[in-house]
Amino acid sequence: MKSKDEMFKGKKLSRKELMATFWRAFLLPACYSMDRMQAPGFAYSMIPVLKKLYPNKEDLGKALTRQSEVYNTTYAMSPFILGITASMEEEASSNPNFLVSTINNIKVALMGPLAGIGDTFFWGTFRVIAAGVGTTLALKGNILGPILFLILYNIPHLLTRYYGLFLGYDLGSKAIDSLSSGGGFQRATKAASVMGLTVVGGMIASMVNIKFDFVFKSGRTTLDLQKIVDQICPDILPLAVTFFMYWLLQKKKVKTSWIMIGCFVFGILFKYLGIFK
Amino acid sequence: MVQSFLVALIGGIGHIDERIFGMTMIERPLVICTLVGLVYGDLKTGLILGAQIELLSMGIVGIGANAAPPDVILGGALSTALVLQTGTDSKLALALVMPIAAFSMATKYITYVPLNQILSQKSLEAASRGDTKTMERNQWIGLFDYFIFPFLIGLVGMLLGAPLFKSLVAYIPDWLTGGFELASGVLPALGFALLMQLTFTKKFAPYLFLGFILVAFFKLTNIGVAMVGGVIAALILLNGNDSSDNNEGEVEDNEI
Repeated sequence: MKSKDEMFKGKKLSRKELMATFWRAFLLPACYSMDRMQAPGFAYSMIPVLKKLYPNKEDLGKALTRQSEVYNTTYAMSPFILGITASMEEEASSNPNFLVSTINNIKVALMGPLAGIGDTFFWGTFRVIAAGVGTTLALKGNILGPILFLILYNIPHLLTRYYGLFLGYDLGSKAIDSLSSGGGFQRATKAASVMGLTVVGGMIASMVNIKFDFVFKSGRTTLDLQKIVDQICPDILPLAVTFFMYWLLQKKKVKTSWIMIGCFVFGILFKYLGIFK
Repeated sequence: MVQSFLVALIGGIGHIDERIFGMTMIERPLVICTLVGLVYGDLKTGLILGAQIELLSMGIVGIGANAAPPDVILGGALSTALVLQTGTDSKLALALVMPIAAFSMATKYITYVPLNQILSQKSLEAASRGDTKTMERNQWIGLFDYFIFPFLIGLVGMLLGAPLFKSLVAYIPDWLTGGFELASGVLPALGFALLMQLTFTKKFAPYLFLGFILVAFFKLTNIGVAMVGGVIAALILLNGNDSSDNNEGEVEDNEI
């Protein structure tokens, strides 16, 4: 990314409008539409930029209408798309040969892949790691749990919003090319998935809690089933239970609420029979 | 009364986390239940319940196939509050989360969802006129809808629910709480299974087992596992320029 002064050299827009967009982007889904999804919020976020670019009310109306078309992506990725859109609107406002339909085409082309990347990073990686650290501490009654959870999640969250916006503006309409060439984004998504899943694997072992409560007694010898299991593979029960539930959800399409009810029903039953604890 | 009000307020604020703060995760049970614990002066129970509910709702997120996730915000806040207010066994809270969450989710279709749909249509009309004032106003009214309805539902739930819950609890036998304890140990597995629906593929399966082995056999902490994951992620990023990496059919990899 270029330095801040260089970025706005010879441009109609300035840092001021982009910062206004930055703050407005936090309200993206505040007026969520069932058919156009986050579009009202996208248009709302673009208002400072468009007002500056189109002093004429008629042109402003056209620009606002095209920015009100269907839009949806991971919240944290939106400033990036807003930045790109701002630079394209800037081009459109001064270049009569610029095809305005390009703007929406690029938006639509970006929101799908960016939602995939964003969900992987923010839901599948940052949140999981933050929750892993946070719940470990909170389970011990440590107040640092929720605090660290929020800090660990929000540092990458806010940095992505801020730098995404200016990076997007800088990349402008060149964005598509630079994104798809080199496969850098795909590699990053892959790396994030790997990190997220590694943590999930660890949490299955540390957070899911189920043990055999089965002790054979014959004469003087007692046989504790859990002790034997521990020698072969500790925490194999939590792993098996997790994969069983994954199988129910993924292959059998069982509803979450039924599995949850099942947990309580079988929990009571197995406890009563003394099989698991 | 004051406590019920505060719990409803926490629920309402949790609901607008993604609407005004850009989703900072204060809406997650880990934070919500801790705050409810503070309201009742029992931080420790709030923290522990928050962590437990966080784990079981790990995969309940508003993306992809889970377009209408159960409302774990009010579910977490009210269940924690009811248990703390009546002084009952905290394990009961886990059994209450989902019924409350499902009820609260159902109410959204008769409250803010249709209201904001109307607002968004008005904004579209305003956009064509270049009427930015109306668009801005509607955005903030929409935000208010997202706050006020969960707040009211939370408040009514607290005022009606607490006395009802208290009389119910008197009849709960011990074997039931023992069963709940077992269920509460297993429920995080459901959370992880839901999360795996979004992220798990055969190609990445070894990494999940790696994390599992690190904890099960080597007793590593979650922070340690995250660091190992980070190192592997760095290796993938740094070795990305190898020619071998480009022949893998990267398009399929993105289907996660």
